[in-house]
Amino acid sequence: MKLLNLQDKKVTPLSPQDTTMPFEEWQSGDAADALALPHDLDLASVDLDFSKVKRLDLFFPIYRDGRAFTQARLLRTRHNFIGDIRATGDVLRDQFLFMVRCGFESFILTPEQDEHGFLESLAEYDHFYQTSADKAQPVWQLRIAQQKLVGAA
Amino acid sequence: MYRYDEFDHKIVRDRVDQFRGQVKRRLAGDITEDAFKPLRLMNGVYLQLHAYMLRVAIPYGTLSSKQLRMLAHIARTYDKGYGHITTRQNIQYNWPALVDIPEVLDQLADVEMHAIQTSGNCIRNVTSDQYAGATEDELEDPRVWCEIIRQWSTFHPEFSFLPRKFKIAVSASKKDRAAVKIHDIGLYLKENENGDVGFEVLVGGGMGRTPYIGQTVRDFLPKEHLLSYLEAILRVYNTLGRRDNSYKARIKILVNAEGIEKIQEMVEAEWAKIKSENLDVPQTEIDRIQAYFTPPAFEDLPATSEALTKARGASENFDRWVTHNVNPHKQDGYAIAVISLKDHGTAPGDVTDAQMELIADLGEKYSFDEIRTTHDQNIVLPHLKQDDLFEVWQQLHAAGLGQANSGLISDIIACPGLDYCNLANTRSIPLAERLQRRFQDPERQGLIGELKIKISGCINACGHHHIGHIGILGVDKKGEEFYQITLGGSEDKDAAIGDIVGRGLSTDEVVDAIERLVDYYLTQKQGEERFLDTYKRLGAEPFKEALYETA
Repeated sequence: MKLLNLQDKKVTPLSPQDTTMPFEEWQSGDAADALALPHDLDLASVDLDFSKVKRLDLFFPIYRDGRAFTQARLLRTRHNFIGDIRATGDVLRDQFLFMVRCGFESFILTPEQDEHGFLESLAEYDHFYQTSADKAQPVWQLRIAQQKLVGAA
Repeated sequence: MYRYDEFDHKIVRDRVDQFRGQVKRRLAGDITEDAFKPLRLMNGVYLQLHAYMLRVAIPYGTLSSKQLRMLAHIARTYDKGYGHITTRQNIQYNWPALVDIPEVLDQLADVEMHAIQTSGNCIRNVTSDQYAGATEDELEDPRVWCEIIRQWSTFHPEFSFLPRKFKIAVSASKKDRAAVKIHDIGLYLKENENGDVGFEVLVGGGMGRTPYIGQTVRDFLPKEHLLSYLEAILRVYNTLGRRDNSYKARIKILVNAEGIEKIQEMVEAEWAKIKSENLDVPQTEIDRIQAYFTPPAFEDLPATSEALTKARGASENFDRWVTHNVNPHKQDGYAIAVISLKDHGTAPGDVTDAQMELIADLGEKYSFDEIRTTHDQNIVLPHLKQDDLFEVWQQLHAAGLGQANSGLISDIIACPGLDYCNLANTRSIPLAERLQRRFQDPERQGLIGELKIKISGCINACGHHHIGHIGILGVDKKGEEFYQITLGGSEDKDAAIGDIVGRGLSTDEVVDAIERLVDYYLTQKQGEERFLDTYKRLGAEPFKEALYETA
């Protein structure tokens, strides 16, 4: 397995020191740098303090199971989590852009997966219609900005 | 109607390029059919019994002549000369080659069309009233909100891998022509006591093997909060919807397991947290989209047309067509006409390339360049001058499109069935044809009046049999086709799931049995009662006796 990091766009081998604590252990009071959240955990209303955690791993048991998209977005927008959010499990190139838009920053890939394809997929779209956890301005905001420019000219 | 700006164009073009790359990887063998499946499904490409099927989105059923001509061109060039209008107001092609599909999508993009999210477990094409912007019983044009939803739902990063597909419909009329209550989310535009316009939001309707009528989750939502409210519902569903069994994964199952009060509590709590998160489009954007739906430049005409009265007197066939297929328009002197795609001898909803070309020409010349597809698999010209109706009908009639059966017993909804679909247990189209033949006498059809027959070839209920006045469900019993009958279903504001009346009928029995039902109704009908009204008045028992000839 290898690790793709969005910030430097580099792939590194997954190091054996790169461990993650299961959620139950952390809940029972152990401190952790990195924590794996269950993919069925409802983050909408839970009162959990992730402020001492540097990384949260979210799991895609299969590409069809999109719960982790909601989890990631809630971590960014509701829990104001600023650490790394890592995608594990069935991480597909063609969902990569969605993951990035929901707030994921690092990704576990299989040795066969081509990271270049993943990174290329980020450039497949210039515009997005909706607000998400990334910094992209939705199209309606771009339209307003454009109209202001026209108005000013 | 809505026109793309540079942003819309770019997004759709980017999608075509992306899919071209995906198909290339598939054809080169870089990805397996298994890995390709989620990619093609996000783009309306299904693997059917015989070939790939491509479903093209017709957002809320609105088309220009130019767009319809493109659909005709695709039918002619890449398919076998016809397309099929679906119950989501889309069009599907049953025979395209995978290698051609990127090219087809490219050409569709030229006319501001796409196949985005016409399949897959994502938010599907939003549907609406086919008479939107034309009907007299409408509060305002619901398509403004359909377009806002279309844009918001396109490639939504959080909601593209939901537990199951997700369907939204919007209506703004007194009469519900969009079957709003059988949608995952149904939206009725309404006015509150202060005269403000907002949405009644329903959730949890659906067909399939466990049909449910949607329930109200919010009685009045101010319009400007629509998208944040939809996000709240989708988020609750994406988090809590079942993923262990695809037959229990639709939001209707969640709503009915938790109860509407609990769902309401969760949705409202979520919405309270996100309503100020910059999710809703601002008024300037609503106004921008609204401007595209400004009514066309209608002429000042008298309310009734002398030419129409004269033509009706001169031609019995035309008179019958006006009676059944022409509907009142909000503008004096105009009318809305339904072009029936329900001729016996062709599958319900099928339309040839030549017919599409003709309808495009008529739409351009007579209907302010607007054409609609309907969820009952017909086509509508929404803005015709009453003075022109005879001329339009003559041309339709000559092209085999003059059937005067809108809303009548032969205006049948049927799924593609075993002739095309690899999920089906039985054929649907041949049964629809046999029923259409049995009831082909136009006078008898007129006498029977409004009667909606809906046929599904399997329990997935794509033919909406649950909400047919007479619903027919095909079941396979040891290799033999049987048909289960339901009665009393409805898709209007009084939406109801039909009652299952008894044992399935064999292929040989079913047409005669339905004829007995209809004949029984005619003997019992009081005044202007429709089949459905008589059924509701008398209850299932006597109809059951007629159906099984037990009396």
